Amino acid sequence: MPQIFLGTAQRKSPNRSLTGIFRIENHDQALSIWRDSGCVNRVLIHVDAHHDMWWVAPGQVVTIANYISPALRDGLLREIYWVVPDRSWESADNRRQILHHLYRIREQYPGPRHPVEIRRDRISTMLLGKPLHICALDGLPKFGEDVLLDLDVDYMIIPRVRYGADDPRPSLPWIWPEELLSRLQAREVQSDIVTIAYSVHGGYTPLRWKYFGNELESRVGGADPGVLRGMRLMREGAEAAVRGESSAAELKFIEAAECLPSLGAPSWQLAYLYLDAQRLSEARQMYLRSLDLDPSYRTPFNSDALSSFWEHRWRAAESECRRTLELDPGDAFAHLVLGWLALEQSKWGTAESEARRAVEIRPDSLDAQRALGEALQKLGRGQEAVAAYERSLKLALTGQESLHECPAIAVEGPRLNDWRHFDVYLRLGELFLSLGELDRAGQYLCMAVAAGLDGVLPRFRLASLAFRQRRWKAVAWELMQMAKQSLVGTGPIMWTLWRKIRRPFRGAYELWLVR
Amino acid sequence: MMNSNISDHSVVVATRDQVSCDLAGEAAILNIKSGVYYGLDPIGAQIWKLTQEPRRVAQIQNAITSEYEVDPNRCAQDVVALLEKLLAEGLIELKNGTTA
Repeated sequence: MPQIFLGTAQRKSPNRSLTGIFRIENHDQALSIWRDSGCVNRVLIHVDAHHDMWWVAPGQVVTIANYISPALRDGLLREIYWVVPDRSWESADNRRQILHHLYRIREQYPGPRHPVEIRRDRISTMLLGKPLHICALDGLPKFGEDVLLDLDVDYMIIPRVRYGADDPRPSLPWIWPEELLSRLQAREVQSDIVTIAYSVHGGYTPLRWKYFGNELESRVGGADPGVLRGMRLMREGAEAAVRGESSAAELKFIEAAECLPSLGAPSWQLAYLYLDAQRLSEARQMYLRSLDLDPSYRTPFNSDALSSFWEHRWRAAESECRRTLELDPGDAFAHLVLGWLALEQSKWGTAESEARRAVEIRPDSLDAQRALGEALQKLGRGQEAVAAYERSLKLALTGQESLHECPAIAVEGPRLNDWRHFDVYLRLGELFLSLGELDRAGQYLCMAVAAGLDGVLPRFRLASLAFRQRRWKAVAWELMQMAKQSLVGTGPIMWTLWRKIRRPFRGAYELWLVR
Repeated sequence: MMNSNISDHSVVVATRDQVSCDLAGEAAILNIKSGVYYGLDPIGAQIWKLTQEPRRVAQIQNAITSEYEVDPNRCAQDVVALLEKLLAEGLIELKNGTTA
């Protein structure tokens, strides 16, 4: 019987300096691991609800959404298998979502476009002259060599690939770690380098399932039976909770906590179980215990609030924030999201108080400073808004990241990956214009334009600024640029229109292909 | 200065490939060519401000020593070190014939 993972101690070729199982927070860290291990010409099995292979040109920011592309480009990989959740394969419409992704990926990559081959168990094409196959677990062929196995915990939670926003997360995973590994084993997958991404940051994996990463590692690495028993109890507890059997769930989680004394997950599950049962003091106690055991649980992604907010599900976002604040009234991120919600609903006073509360708790949160700036700007308190915006810019320069940013590592060199950062320059330019500080307004507007936020509005502002400064040549120049921008602006509108017109035809064609 | 392109007699000036702004005493600079974004602390921002017009390095050093209590030799070293970095990043240039 072949072993599923030979990994930890195997070294088969001289170019390998690193082997084993690697738990990582953000999936793009896998690229560094492959590079450090000296991988060349390998087969990658990417088990994930997201493809993570948008094209990235050399020098551009490598993120969780594109880290496979540099690995392909630089010869680390020779073939890719993207293993999608089972449901993605179950209906023509779901397969069409995959195909849609594949077409977009193929459009981005340089070089000739290879045809897409659609088979019953697999969709294939070539990227940079190397094969890319998309299949479900059971569609994997048998490999006679060690592969790079790249697992994302969100694969177990997200039941199908979607083009656009993911489906809301179900109460239970569609597949459990044990089942995932046994199905890989059935395909005789062997790997010397296994990367396991939690993907909590960004909101892909709900925090309550983060421990699946630990479970995968334990099962792959051959943990002691006590740990595996703890993991089984966690599953039984979660299933009991979903069935509404709170007492049974409580007992399972308490027992799991005994088996897994250093893991924050059982206490975390208990905290929410107690919260739902209105046992507030016990809930808070368990919540704090989980944070003590695992400080990484103190994260902006400790609930579905951010995902709900980004998907415009305002009520769900607010409800999640209120639940978090019941457990921890000092959670800065819950206040921040409430502030964002208030901004969306034009409740400027509430937005200010929530953002201010977030700033008091986390003065280093640039998002909170930005939200405060926006609320104060809307309230007409220009000088205070300027101060808050400037603090947010300074925080970015000290390395603080916005929650809006796609998680990224600086593989290709440091770059700022947040266009909203330069939007703040635009806002500051407008504020300084209204405050009559014309020189500073000019500096900030020029910064925004140079950073890529060129458009009719910034050019109009610069023209009006030049007019107020009686720089007539500059007025003419900016008006000319404004006219140019209005022409440039029609391009995307026409493109959007064209896409809307062709969408039903393309959809029908894709459905016919994957029928 | 050993291994340095810049001496006290060099004349330096900010290139045209950048935009910058004053950020409440600090400075933010965007290199338009490379897209790289930089931040300077208040003293760095002051040096950056002085490079907006062609100036001798010695003049910049004098301006800093007159404002801050600092050993002139240390100040000279630090100013040159910063200017070297700005030069390497393409944010300033040396005026003709002023290389060390």
